[in-house]
Amino acid sequence: MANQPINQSDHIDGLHAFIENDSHNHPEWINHRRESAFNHYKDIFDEQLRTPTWRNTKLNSMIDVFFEKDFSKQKTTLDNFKPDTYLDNSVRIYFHSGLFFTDEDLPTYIKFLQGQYSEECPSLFMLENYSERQSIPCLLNNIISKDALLIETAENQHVERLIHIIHMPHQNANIAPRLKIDLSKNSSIKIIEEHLQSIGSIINNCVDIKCEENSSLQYYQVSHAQNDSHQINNLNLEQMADTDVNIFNLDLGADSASSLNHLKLNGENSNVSCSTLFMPSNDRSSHHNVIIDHLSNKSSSSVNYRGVINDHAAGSFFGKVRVEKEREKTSAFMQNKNLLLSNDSRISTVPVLEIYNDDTECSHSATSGSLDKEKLFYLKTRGINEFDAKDFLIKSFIDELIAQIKSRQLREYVNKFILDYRGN
Amino acid sequence: MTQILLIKDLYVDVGNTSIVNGLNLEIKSGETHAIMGPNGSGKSTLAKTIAGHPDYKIRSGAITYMDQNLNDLSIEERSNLGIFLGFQYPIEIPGLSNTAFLKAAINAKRKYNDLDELSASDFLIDLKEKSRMVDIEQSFLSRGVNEGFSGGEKKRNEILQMLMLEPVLSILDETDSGLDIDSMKVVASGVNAFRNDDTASLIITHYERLLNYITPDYVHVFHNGAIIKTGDIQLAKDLEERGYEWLINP
Repeated sequence: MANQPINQSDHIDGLHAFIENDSHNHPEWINHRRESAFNHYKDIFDEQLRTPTWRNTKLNSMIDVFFEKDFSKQKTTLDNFKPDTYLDNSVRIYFHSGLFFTDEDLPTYIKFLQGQYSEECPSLFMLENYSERQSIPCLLNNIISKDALLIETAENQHVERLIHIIHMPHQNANIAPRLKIDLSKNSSIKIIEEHLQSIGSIINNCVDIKCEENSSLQYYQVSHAQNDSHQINNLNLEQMADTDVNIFNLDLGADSASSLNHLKLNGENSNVSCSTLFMPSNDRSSHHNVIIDHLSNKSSSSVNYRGVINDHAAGSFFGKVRVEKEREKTSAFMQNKNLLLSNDSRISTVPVLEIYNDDTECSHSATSGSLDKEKLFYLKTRGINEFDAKDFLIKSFIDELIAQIKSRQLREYVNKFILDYRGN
Repeated sequence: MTQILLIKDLYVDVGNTSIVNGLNLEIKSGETHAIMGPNGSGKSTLAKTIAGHPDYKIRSGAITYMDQNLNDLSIEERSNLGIFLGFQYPIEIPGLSNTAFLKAAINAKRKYNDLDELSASDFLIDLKEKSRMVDIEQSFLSRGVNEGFSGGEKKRNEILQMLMLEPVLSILDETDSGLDIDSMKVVASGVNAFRNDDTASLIITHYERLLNYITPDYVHVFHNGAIIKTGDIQLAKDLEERGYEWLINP
């Protein structure tokens, strides 16, 4: 499951060639920043693959595919490719061929940044941020991204309509969407990102969130299952005082699917809950990483990741909570539970607490195993056959997590995909 | 009275250990049998063996339920044919609501017996009435199966399942353990409501006190996996006073 050594010089050369060949499409300042990201990438690549965050993630296979792509052949039309399910009363935004677009008038708090790249443009800070982060996927995103979506609430603005962002790559597409969410003071919003993968696609998604005082965010991600595709989600969150953020991620499995959520609680009474359900099957893999920094007193976090792993699939969880010595009265809860449905399914789980302050309430747990035999026996003694009893237990394992989705509309939406997926 | 259960010269192993050793027992319709005995005497093993737990292997002997060899029947078939086991430690299944679970169980039984599924309204009427009988609040029914229930609530939930499934043979494994006196009365009234000329009960208990509310026709004393004495309710009272020693080492 661990990354194998790859020919670094080949892919570094390939990446540099891509930047040079594509440079005539962009102003000099973008090319300069791409070079900067490339130099960071080159320096950290080897070291990062050995870190706990990426050790079990099949980044190599994604990077190999990345450099096999001929970017010049990426299509620019939509190919009538739209999802067959919509959420009522939502603002729908699509991402295709590297660009965001919509078929309605955009509310003022949403902006597409395409064509607005200039050194004075507000989008600039995004590029800087991504370079500083020094993460392999973020740097790759920085190198190939063409567009960004900015969602920026005003003070005291409570957005009622759900924002539904639908990523629709075509076959063999290599896309790098990036989303910036800025919540001003006393504002709230609900956002769902849905990734409709295509055969051979690579989605390397970067989301950057900042929540100012007393703001509230519900953020959901759904990644649909697809063979021969690769999915990486990078999420960086910073919360100021009195903020409340709920994150839910459903990963139905790709050839290689992974996430890195870095959550920073940077204000008193900032609360975050982050849940992920990953369900790889066949030969797919799902790898999820979450790091929580309690940077302020009285901050609280709740992490709940569940894996349902079938066939020959593999999964991993790496979670770390950090509380520095001077941070008091924080609370952190971290749990990872995994259900292995076959003899060949695999899981690696590493929950870590780094707590340097005694005035902290923390707990972590991780369990992995097959379906509980005593529960199966109990259900069967009530007349329920083996197949249905197993199905009940898997469903109950999933439903316990789904119940944490606050919005009933989204709970039902997510449930539908799980039912369809399991039905197949 | 027809024969419901017949156990003949039964030996049961768990792993390499022999737990039930030459047990004989006959239960007829309309009868209530109580099995008492010290810890480790094999009472719960007998209950789980009848229900079909895969870890409990019949080495020799036979259990016949309504003229069918139980060994030929799966766990769910036994249930669908009318055997109910009330668990000593009811299992918690968070994420699966009590209502959904009960409905699935009832419809599984109806399907097995070639009956149409129960309509949602008929099911809910029945559920409401029977949950009232065992003092279970409606809000409990939407919670996960036994999730966060107290010991008494779990046992009452077992009796609710029994009443809903309407079994022929009800085996209650230490349903009274951990119950306060009020809960015990509720459980006993539920069990008594189930008693009629066509059904039978096998009640496994440590104490005589439950039998003050459910009067058995027979009381059996279990030791080393076999019945060493059979009597009526007076035997239970004697055991309460004198313990088991006078029977085990006379």
